[in-house]
Amino acid sequence: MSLATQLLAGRTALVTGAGGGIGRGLALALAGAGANVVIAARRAETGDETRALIEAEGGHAICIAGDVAQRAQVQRAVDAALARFGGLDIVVHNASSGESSVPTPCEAITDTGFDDQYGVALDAAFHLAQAAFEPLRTSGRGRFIILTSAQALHGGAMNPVYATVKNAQRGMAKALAREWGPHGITVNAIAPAAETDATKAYFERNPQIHTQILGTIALRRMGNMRQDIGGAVVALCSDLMCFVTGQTLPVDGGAYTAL
Amino acid sequence: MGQRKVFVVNGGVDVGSALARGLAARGARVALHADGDVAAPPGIEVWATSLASRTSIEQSFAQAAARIGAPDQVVISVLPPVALQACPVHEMLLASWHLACRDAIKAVLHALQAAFTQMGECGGSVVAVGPALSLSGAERLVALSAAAEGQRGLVKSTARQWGRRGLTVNWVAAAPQALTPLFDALPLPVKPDAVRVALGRGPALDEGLAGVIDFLGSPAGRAITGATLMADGGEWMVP
Repeated sequence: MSLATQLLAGRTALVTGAGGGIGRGLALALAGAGANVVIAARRAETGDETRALIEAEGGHAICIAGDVAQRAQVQRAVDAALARFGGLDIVVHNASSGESSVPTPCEAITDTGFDDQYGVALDAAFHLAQAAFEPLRTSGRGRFIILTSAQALHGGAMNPVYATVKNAQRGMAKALAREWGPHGITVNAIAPAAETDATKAYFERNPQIHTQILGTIALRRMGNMRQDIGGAVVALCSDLMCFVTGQTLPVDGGAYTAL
Repeated sequence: MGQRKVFVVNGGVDVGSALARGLAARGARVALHADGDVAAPPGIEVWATSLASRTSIEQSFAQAAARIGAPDQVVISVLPPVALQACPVHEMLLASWHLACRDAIKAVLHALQAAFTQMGECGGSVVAVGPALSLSGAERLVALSAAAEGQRGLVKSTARQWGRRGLTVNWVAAAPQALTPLFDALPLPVKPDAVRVALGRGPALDEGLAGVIDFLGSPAGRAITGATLMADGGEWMVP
C-alpha cells in the first residue's frame, strides 16, 4: 500500500458536483487515498458513473443525486454519509452553475442570472456548513474545502457574477476557518487551473489561444483534474496539512503569483 | 474643470451621510441615495430609493441627475444591519443569510449598473467601501465576510470590463470601527503585532476616507482601477 492510499484511510468525504469534470477528479483522488466518497451530483446517471469508476478501482462510494442549492438535498447527502459510512470527515464543495462560464457584461446581468450562480456557489456552501458542522466536529479532523477560482483572485472579466461568488466563497472560507478552528475543523479554498473536457475541447478548436494561455503558466501546462487538483485536495485533507486553515491555495501551475 | 458631482449610495447602516459630508466639504456637489434613514448633512439632498432593484436606483439617479447633473463619481456602501449580528453559521437562518450576503452583493450590483447607465458613455469613477475584516475573515460574521468579499470581487471584475470606457472601479477597505461604532461590540480578528495599527486607528469617514475617495475621483486618481485600497490605518498590510 502506497503512502497516497493510506493518507485518508478510514475517512469519509462528500464531494459536490462530482458527476464529472473536476469534481469527478477530486472524488477519484480522494477514493484513491483511501477515503469513502459520497458523490453529490445533480444527475444520478453521471454520479453513478463516478461511483462505478471508484468501485472499479476497489474504492467505496455512494451517489446522492440532487440540487445542492437546496438544504433538504444537502442534508440527505450528509445523512447518507453517516448512515452508510458512520461519519463525515471531509466536505469538498466543487459544484458550480452552468452559467459560470458564459461571458456576460456587468450591465447585462439579471437578478435571475445572479441568483442561479449564487445559489450553487454560496447557498450550497451555507447548507453544507450547516448540515456538516456536527459530523465534522465529531470527526476531530474535519476538513471543509471550497473550490474557488483564479477569477476571484484577479477579478476575471469574463463573468462578473462568477468572480463575485468565487470571491465571496473566499471570504466565507476565511471567516469559517476562524469560527471552526476551535472545533478542530480546517477550512480552505483552492483556486485550480484544470484541463477539463470543456477546456480541452475549446483549446482543440483554438490552438493559438491554448499556446498563449500555456505561456502564462509557469509549469506550461494545465492541471490534471485527478493528479494535480485532486492531489492538492488529498494533501489538504490529510494530517500532513492539519495546520493550514483560512487560506486560498492557487493550484494552477504558477499562473497567478501575485498573492 | 467644474464642480465634481458625486452620487453617494447607502444601503443599510448609515455610512453614506458622513461620506457625503466629507466629500461636500472637499468641494463636491453631492446627492445621497439611501434605502433607509440617514442623517442628512446640511445642504445635501437625500433621495429615497430601494437597492433591491436596478430600476429603482436608476430612477433615483435620473432624478438627481436632472437636478444637479450627471455624476462624475458614484460611491457605494451597502452594509445590512443583519450582517452585523454575530451568529455562528450553523445557527443562522437562511433568510438572514440571504439578507446579509446575497442581497448585500446584489445591491452593489444594482448600484454599479445604475452608475454605468449614467457614466458608461463618458467615463467616471466608482468607489465601493466595505469593512477590511473581509480580508482576514471574522468568526460569527461569516455572512458579512462573504458579502464584502463578494462585493470586492464584483468591483474587480467590473473594473476590467469598464476600463476601456474610462470608467474606473475601486474598493476601499476601511477599518470596521471607522464605518460604524456597531463594530465595537463584534468579535473582530486582531492582528498580533507590537504595533497593531500603524496610525493608531483607521481614518474617519468624513476625513481620511472621504479624502481617499476624493482622490480616486480626481484626474490623478483616475489612473487607478480594480484596486483594493487598505484604508485601515495600517493594520493588516495584506500581501
